[in-house]
Amino acid sequence: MSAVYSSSALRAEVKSVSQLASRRRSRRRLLGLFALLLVVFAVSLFFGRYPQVGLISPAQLAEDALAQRLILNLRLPRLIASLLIGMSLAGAGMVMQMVFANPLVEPGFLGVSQAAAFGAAVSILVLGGVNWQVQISAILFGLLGLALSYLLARRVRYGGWVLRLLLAGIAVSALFASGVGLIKYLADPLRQLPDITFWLLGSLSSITWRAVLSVLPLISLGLVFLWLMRWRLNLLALEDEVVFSLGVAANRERLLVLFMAVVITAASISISGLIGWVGLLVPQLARRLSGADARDGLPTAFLLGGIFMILCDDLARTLSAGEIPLGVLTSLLGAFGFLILMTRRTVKV
Amino acid sequence: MRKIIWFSLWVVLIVLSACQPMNPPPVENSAVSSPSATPVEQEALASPEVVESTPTPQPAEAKHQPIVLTDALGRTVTFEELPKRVVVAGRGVALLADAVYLFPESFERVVAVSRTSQSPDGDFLALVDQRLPEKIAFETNVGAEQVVTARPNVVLLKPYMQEPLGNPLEALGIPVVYLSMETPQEYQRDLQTLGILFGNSQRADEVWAFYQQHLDTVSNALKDLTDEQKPRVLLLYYSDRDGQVAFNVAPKTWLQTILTGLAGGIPVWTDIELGSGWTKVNLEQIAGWDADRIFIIAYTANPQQVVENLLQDPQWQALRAVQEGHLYAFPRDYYSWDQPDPRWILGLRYLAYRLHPEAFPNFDLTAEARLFFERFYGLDARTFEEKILPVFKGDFR
Amino acid sequence: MTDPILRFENVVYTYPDAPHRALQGLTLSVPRGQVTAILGPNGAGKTTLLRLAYGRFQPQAGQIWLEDRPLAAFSRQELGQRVALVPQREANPFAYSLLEYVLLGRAPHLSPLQMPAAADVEIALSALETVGLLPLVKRTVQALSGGEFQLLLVARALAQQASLLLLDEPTSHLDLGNKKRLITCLQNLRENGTTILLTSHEPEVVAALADQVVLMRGGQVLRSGLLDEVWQADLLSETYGIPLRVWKFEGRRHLTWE
Repeated sequence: MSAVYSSSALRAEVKSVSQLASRRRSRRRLLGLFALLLVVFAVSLFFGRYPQVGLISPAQLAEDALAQRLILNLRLPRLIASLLIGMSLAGAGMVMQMVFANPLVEPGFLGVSQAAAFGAAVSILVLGGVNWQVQISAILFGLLGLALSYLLARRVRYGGWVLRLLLAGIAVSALFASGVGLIKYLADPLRQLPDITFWLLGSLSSITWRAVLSVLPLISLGLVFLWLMRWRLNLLALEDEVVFSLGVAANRERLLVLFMAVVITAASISISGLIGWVGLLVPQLARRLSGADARDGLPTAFLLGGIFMILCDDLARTLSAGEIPLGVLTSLLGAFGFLILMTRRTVKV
Repeated sequence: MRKIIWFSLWVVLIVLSACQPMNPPPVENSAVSSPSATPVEQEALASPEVVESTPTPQPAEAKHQPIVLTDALGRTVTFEELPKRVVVAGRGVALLADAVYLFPESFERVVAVSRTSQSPDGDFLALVDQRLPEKIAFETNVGAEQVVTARPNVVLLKPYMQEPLGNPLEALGIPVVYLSMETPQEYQRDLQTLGILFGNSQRADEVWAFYQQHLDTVSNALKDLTDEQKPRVLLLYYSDRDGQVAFNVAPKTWLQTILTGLAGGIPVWTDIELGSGWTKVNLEQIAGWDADRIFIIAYTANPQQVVENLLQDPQWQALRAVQEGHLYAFPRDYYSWDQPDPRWILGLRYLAYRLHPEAFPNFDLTAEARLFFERFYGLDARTFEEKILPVFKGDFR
Repeated sequence: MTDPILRFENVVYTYPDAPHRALQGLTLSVPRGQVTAILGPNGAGKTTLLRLAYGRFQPQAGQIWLEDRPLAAFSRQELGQRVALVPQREANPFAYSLLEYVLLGRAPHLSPLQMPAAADVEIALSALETVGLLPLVKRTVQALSGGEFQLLLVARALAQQASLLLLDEPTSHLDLGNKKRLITCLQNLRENGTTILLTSHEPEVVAALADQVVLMRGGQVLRSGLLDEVWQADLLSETYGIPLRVWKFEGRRHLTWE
């Protein structure tokens, strides 16, 4: 099939202006965000409550062995965990919003969040809340929630594939949420209930190297895979008819991508507890920043998610003499930031 | 690019706002101690000294042997010298702190305590330790980084705080000692641990002797009791969280169950499936047990008030124990006497008296309490009259 | 008669849980390099036919041949490289740029983990130019009118570089001005040798475009052949089930109902 070219001058001009400029611009944007991430990470290493609220100077650090241990054994793994979790939740949120072509879904919604919460609560109630047991229980139940949603969706005889998954996800979430409610009722109000409540609100206060390293391989794998699929996500957002005609095995690729998103979400939840809102809001911010194309949107979501989570965790461990639950902070800051950006100008996402 | 600049400004704003100091500066000791303490070679030790000026060599003192103790989790912890800055942190330490303050050294050496909101009547610890308001107060869900700001030589924790708090602290090289103190045997053992920690084992023996004496009094008076003579006892913890009223029973291993046995009663709730914490029971179950004596424990509410409300309740009026006048409010002052607090010995004496009044003819609860507070916390009679007696709630006759 | 690029032989298809057949024993052939139009009332099975043509569903009976090979023998990706679909409507939830949208059409030529390269961008730009949307290239998809969006979908299909272009009722929801624009575009494509198969329920659009016409009703072919052969009042009335009248005016074919 041949194409008819009109004035080649017009073509050349348009190509140079629109195409080259936009790739370069987006690359610069991503680089800028990456630099910001590095700066935030580095500054956060020095930021905390010890030895005084605020930043510790390098001179102080050189002399204080305790501070060195603090940074190496406590702050560093915690920052890495924040980074991984922020990237995972934001990335998974972006993926879900693309696959469901709906800007209102968030990563835990296919029953994953509530199921993971249920798993953790069961572990705390029955097994006494040993950390690694809670973690494994959360991951297993999170994946179980996804499996249930998928199986249920196949049985629903109503609406298209997307609608079926949505309905199944809502049903499974409700199921596990009521399970969590039951467990909270049964739990010992003096010891187990505070444990469960604290887990449900999310916190990184007991993160050690062991916890970070236990999820690092899984999350890294998932993040890399999703990053490689970043352009393909645009396709998966289209309707079935079109996706088929474009030669893409829609359902298979969508399921694969969703599965990876859910895996990294469940892994993140398992070490941090429930953290909501990040997966819903950061993709929106990322799209406002980078445009609708997921080729830029997904890396932007990764970087923004990482920055956001690190900042929230900085505040969680520094603002007061206790630990503020991370989930509370992410909701607060996330909603606040979202409001600001929504009222600045009307941009379609 | 402009959007990124705006975003960065917003980020910087938030970061700067968090840089305002949120807490009053810590107590003089740590302000003076220089961060340039001699770095410690060994892993398990940390010893920033309280130094007035430039670090001088430590004056030769008597103790040069290292201090070794075994804590509640069976771990051996070694100290080069007596820890001068002790922190009691994490969840569940309100009662633990009461036990720590049995040692007079704690006034000097305890620098930070996690505060719970357990007692609605006020701060008992502040009564005992006049300087407590100047010391650092942590939240119950404190993180390792916050604990470190108090520059502790040792941190005392409950065993179930090992993962959330103990491990991170050890990763920083701060020694952690776990104290359980949930049963009489554990009290005996952990008091010894505290004695070693404070360098005052004599005091530990003294305190335990007091406990032992009371334990012996009770067991001697009850030693000829047969099982038929022991009343069936039900201890119920009344909670009204979120407006939901619930009655709970304790696990077999908890102090409440142990006390009931020691006091010459038969705990009726041990035949159902009990969890590892409080187990809710409904009225049907309570009626099914048909206990001879029912005690209501309340940690925040007034147990006497609860009992009076229950006496008006027709469902409760149908219970045999209530009809026979055997529904009691378990006594409490700042803390209830059924818990793993040093006061448990008073709870035992009360319970034994209530179950077998004929075995303890001259028992005077108030007098015993006065003696307790004097011997254990050094509170004189006047303080007792003014500060503690008015706070007494429950079954006092 | 050029050799057919697509052939249906006695194809039968029933939707799952449907009471009756959507296509019953359908036979037709689509010649290369020409515009073939499937004309029929709503529910005749036109869309179903298209769906079978790009392999979305498999027929329960009968055979479909694409370029002399059974359709089932092609992989999904191979099909995507040969057959391109322009759907009737499409929801567009996100604000893509025109170029990004057309670039999606390059998918069949890329593996799942591959990114579009400069060559793909070239092809996408050419496609935009062919449909005449290049001047608007800086806009986002949501700033387009209905007709422009339809042209964009055609551009995306062109970017697929397929040998067969399928259009599902492309003009049905467009106003007159946009209809004209789209028809002109399709006519240009036909001039350049693109094989087009479109469905429509609007006879006058078909009359303006088609070389071959297939009349469908109730899942069956009533008649197929050249435009002249098929454009008869009796055949068209039978197709639509109502009495119709055909007439010519200034060289253009028209049709009205009685």
